Amino acid sequence: MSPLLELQRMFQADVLGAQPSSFATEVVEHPAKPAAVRIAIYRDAYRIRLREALASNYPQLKRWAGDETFDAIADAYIDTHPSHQPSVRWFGDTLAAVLSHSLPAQPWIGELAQWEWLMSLAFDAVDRATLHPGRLAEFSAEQWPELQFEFHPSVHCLILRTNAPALYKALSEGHTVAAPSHTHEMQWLIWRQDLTPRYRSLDPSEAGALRVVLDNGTFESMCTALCEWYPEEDVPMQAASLLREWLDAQMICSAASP
Amino acid sequence: MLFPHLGFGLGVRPEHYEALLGERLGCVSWLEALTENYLVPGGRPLHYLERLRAHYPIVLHGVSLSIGGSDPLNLEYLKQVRTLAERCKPAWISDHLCWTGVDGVNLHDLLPLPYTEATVRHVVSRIDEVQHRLGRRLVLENVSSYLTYAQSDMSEWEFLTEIAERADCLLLLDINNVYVSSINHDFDPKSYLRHIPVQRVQQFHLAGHRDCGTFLIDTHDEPVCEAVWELYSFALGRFGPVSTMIERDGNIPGVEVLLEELQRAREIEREIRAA
Repeated sequence: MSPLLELQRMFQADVLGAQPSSFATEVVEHPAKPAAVRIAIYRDAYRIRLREALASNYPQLKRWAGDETFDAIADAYIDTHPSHQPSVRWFGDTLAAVLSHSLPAQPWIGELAQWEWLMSLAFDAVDRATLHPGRLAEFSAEQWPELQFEFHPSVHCLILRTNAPALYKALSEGHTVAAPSHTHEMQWLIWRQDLTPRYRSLDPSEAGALRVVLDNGTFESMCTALCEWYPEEDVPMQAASLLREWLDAQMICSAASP
Repeated sequence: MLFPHLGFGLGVRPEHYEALLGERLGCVSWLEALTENYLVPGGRPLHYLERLRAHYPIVLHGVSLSIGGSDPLNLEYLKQVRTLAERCKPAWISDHLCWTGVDGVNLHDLLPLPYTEATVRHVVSRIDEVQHRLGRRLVLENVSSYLTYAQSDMSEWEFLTEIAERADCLLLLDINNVYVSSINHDFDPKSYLRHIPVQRVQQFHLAGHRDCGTFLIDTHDEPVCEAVWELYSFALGRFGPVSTMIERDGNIPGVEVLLEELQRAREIEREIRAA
């Protein structure tokens, strides 16, 4: 092991506070500025910086939990999940899963974190031009059944069992926050329109249709899925209406038939 | 030898995007963008960077290169920086003379290096590779530090100079960091500046710090203090006009407050020129 690597490992162990280290013997002592105090500056700064990073990535979770509880959540995460990414933007990517596992009696905490993280992914998802609604008229009636759609990278469907989106909305708008609660299973859509992340709930028929086409299903298979909820004669109109809504919301980037 | 002189700029922060593109358009000569903030797939950060670069020269300033680290250079990171540079055409790319973690961990801090001949050789070889991969000379910043390694056998300014000369890279002198470290390690900050080769200095940073009694902590959340202004004046006397900017990362005020600070930097430079 190179002396530099050894030194850096000792320093890092001290900053992480995970294990005893003899790093202090590597630091020049000074009567007024002891080595232990010098090292503690780095250890404290590390924790403060990563707490701030989590607070920046989960501002509504912090607002909901309050400073003290949030810091406890952050410290537990920092101690077990050191960052491996160049940017703190990605620190906390597994926080929702960790909270769901560690706080099963309060599932809204994990879901609020999941919601906030997915909103942030929509915020800086890859830029793609979206399809002008008029372009679909260019396809012939024969092409329509086999039509497939490419969705914007920000589009994401998820199922939640708590009122986490309502908590998020109230927190981010500064309104009175309802009590956290279980709900029946609900489908949600998150995407970005222009530069702004958006979200809304999905009724089961739209969620079913959207999941089919997000999974590279054809327009015909989307119509088949809609038959579960609508009489067959109403399905083409329903499908066209959904497509129009998704196009207007800038969710679709392209359409193609084989 | 140096990149072009850009005059007086600001570190761009999202809080100021609209002002810099609206009522304060053209208020500074250039902007320094934090590289990692724009290593994202898309959306608002890259949208604003594109719009800003239509009006201001951009400089990229990174915090995760870990040029003094013991892990292999992160080639994926370097590739991303190069792609970003191709997109926003920065006047130059800077990072810090430090390490940020080991064994794949990023501590997200700018950690000091031992000032030894072995470290100089290690860092110089890594700068060579980075400059090759980025296709340009690197600009490296001195960091604030709070400890000295027992194994160091040269001063920070000797270390910095040796690396810049041997790697043929340029320097970003953070005047506040020189001052902070001078208090924390009991050295003369002017002596530090007197030893830095004039022809290597591409840029100055000015920032605020927090006085914690026995130590100064480089927090970037306060205005530039009087002692740092005085040191800036001394630096201008030694290095001549150098592209200068204000860095603020916490307690971020309205852009007009930072412009007032920048105006003071302009006035100090004017006084030095007149003298």
